[in-house]
Amino acid sequence: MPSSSDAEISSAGFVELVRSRDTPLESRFVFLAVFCIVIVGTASLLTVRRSGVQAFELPEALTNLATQLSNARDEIQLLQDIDLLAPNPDRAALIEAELTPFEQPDILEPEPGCLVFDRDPYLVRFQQLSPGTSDWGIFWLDEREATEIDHALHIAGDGESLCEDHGEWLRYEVNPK
Amino acid sequence: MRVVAIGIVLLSVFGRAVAEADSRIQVGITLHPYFAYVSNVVGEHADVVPLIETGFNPHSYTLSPADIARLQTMDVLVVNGIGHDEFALEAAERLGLPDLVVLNANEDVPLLGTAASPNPHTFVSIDAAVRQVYRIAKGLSAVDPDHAVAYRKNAYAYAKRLRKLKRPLQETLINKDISEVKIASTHNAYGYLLQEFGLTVSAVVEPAHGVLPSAAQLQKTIDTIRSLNVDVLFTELNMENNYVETIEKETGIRLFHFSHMTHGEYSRYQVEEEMTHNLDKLQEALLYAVSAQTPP
Repeated sequence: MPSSSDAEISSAGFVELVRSRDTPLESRFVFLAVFCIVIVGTASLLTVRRSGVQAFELPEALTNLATQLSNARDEIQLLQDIDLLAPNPDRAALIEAELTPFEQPDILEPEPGCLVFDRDPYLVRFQQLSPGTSDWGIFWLDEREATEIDHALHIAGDGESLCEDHGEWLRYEVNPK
Repeated sequence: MRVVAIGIVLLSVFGRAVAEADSRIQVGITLHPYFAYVSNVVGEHADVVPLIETGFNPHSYTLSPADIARLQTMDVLVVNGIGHDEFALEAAERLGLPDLVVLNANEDVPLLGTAASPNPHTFVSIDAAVRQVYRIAKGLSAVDPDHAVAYRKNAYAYAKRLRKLKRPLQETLINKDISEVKIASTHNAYGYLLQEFGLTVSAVVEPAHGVLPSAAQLQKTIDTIRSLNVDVLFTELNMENNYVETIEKETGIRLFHFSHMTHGEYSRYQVEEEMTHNLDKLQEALLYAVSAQTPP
């Protein structure tokens, strides 16, 4: 005979009476708790994944070029500090200064301070961030977008768009300073 | 009177030399290549102190009391920091040395591998070595700003010397098609160097450095080498790998030995000397592979 309370003392000891169904309020709490766990878990996974990918988002095929360009950036700064390189060097000046990455044949120079390396299926851009400074950025474009731009480039016959940022280029930066 | 004047001048020069020696920073290193990098960056302006003595394998090394005493005298400790000198990082953290600056040479090197497990062999390369040299120069300039200009200039001069080592091989390869050359290596130490010449590794034999493959892993490697038609296998100098001969016998692959650059006496010239050896071996291997692929 169920009593109005959830537990009673009998001769066998303490007996807990369990209802066959939760109350609607309890069901809502359980649902809410599960929902919160799923949301927090997903958000944490995304955060961890993003922070882990940051340094490795560069395709392995571009690792060496990124290394060479990072070295070139340090050398441009040093050579400008000791007045051995002009403030706005073009490709010829960079080659003259024995900066080896710029000797490679597959480089476009659509405009001053902007050099684009064609590393099929990627494009890598080395660009002076503000004229007269030694601040250069390294950007790259993934295969699908590179193919579209490459296609557009062939049609337009004009490389200037490669130096403009429409949000499709990714900036490579492990440690900017 | 003249004798007194000369004496004063000599004392002054001697005093200045003693003061200069006292103010020199002590820069510790954990691995052989970093001795060369740091020595070439600091020149005469700092002392370079190896944390461990020669003759020990730095892989899974445990510091001795003498090593710990040395660590406590250092102003800066230059580390690989991505898996080749955990012993030093753990010791520095455990000792809690408040004045010790730990300089991670790989801090801004684009790495191969994954975030959880980067390939730590950035020192078996030229471009990644130069990247580290510049990182070291920047880090030491912050600690010792009086010599910052010298450190940067020395780093640049050393970088140029290192890059120059690549020239003969680059010139040899100008008219050679190496796009079909297939390479295997005993452990994954040569990825950075090979990438500088547009090469990748098709098969890696050892599961980890110095860890011998099991019979099943060895068989799988032999099968991979056969199926991919791998031309050459790079293995490590100064390391006995009997299983490599089995691979050679079973597949007919040609062996070439690279230096891992973590053995022998500490020397400022070690990287240049041993990298010259590696590049000579790479040239020999590539010429062999290209000639083997060319129909008679």
